[in-house]
Amino acid sequence: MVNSETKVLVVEDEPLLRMAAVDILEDAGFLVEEAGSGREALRVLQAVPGLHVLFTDIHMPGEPDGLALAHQTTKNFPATGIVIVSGHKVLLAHEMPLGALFLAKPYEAHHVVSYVRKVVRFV
Amino acid sequence: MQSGAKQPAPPASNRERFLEAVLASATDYAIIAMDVHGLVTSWNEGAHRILGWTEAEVIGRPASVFFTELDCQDGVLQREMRAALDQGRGTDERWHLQKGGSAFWANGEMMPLLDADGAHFGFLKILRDHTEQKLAAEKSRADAEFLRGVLASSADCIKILDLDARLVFMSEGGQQVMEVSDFNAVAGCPWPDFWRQAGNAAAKKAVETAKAGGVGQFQGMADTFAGTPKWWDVQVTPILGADGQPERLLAVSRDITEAKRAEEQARLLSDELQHRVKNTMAMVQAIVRQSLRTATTPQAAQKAIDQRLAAMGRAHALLMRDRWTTSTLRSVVDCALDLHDDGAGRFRIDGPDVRLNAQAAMSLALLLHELATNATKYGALSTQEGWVEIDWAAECEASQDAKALRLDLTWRELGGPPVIPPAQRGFGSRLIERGLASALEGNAVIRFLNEGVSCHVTALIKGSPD
Repeated sequence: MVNSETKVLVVEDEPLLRMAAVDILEDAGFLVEEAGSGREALRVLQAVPGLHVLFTDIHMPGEPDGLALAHQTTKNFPATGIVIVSGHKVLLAHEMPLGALFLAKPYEAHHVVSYVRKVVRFV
Repeated sequence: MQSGAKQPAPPASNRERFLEAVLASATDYAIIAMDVHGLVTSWNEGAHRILGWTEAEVIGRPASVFFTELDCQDGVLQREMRAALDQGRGTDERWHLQKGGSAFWANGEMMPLLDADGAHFGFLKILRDHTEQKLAAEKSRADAEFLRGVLASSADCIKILDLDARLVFMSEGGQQVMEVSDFNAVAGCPWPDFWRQAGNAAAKKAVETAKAGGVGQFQGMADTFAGTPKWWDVQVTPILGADGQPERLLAVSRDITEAKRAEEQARLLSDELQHRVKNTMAMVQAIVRQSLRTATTPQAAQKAIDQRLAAMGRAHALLMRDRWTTSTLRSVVDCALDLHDDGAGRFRIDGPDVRLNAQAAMSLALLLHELATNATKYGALSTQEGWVEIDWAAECEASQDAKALRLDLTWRELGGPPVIPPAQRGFGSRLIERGLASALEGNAVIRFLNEGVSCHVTALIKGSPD
């Protein structure tokens, strides 16, 4: 399901962590967009058509936070797979959009890649 | 029984013998006859037993002999006699004296003695020794007063409920903590109805437990009668009747609002600490990964990791000084450049000292560290003659998110070797231009000018204090 056209949006307010996630995914062959807040992510979602995966942190300043962003993305872009990450809390399946996966921080690079691959639906 | 001086002794009849027997056997009662002047004319065995004097010792003496000196001065006996004449009886409830001077509490009455024609010829005084009852009543009153004092001074809200859980009594201290201005306004109200949400069910359950003879306990939220929301720790116990069955309920509520707040604060702090530790570990992980990714040798990677973690650690320490809330821009600049400052005045710093929030402070510290590291390796700080000018302007800006600070900061390297633009962006440049700039809600532009590297940062820092 994954090929070099698979596009991932990384949303993380902490720049170092965002860079790390972007590099991990780029190294794995994904095309990566990035955003530092939920609001910026919404702009990217509108501007870049056909994003396959949203990879977002939960805890971010401003509105929406990562969880609200995930729900909005599922509603508006149902083909987009979701990976939610957090070092703050552990989400249960019923708290996340259907089909989304949760990854706890700090994470290992191979987990980032495998989780993103698992949620990719259509390429 | 002897007769008085003014009344000649009539022949003893069966009736008189009967009366004498009654008087003699009524040993719990002092039955004393007086003439119209209050002189004792008759004194039964009960009077002897209670007051101590024999009949022979008091016959003909004023009955005031067993009144206290104060009552004598006050004319108490005379008033009793007057009341007996005017109202048919005079009551006597006071301390009296026994023969030895001991006091005892008497309870009695005085009545006028009238002959067959209705002529007044004396008085009859009947009294009992009620000292024990008096002392018991005083003790009971003192006990009740003590209990009232205890209840009033207790900060707990102590209530009595009937078996339908309706409010019957609330202690004074309880009325204060529950902000009750008039207990009558709440008397009879169903006590469980005072509790919010789950507290209501818990209160009902506690009542049922206590009615069954157990101890009902719960914690819940209830507003005071003035509407102040409070947390309470509650215990409901039965008050048993003589038959051993609960006849009322005792409900004691302790205000634990402050403790709950402290508990919540501790929980939030714990959550926050956990978040920060995890975030810090994730940042360390990212720094290591990025440094290894871009370093040309293991030694260079190690050095880069050491320096970046040290920069992050110093920024942490700076923020911890202010409990991870704010820091001044000047202290962030000093902290970030400290390791690169050789004391030769190579940093020329100028700008107003404004306060930054924690995230902006951390981002700027890392940004300045990356610029200084690059300057030390390749730029103005790599020679003896070079220097760096860092200046900024800051102004408050109206924002939809309330207070915000518009920051305009310039890093300018001068006097160093000619600059050779890098073939590709390194970690520091990427971090500054892509990462930190967006973290600061602005942008950062690095220019590799021939005379020296410059970096211009504009940022909108929200939530910055004055």
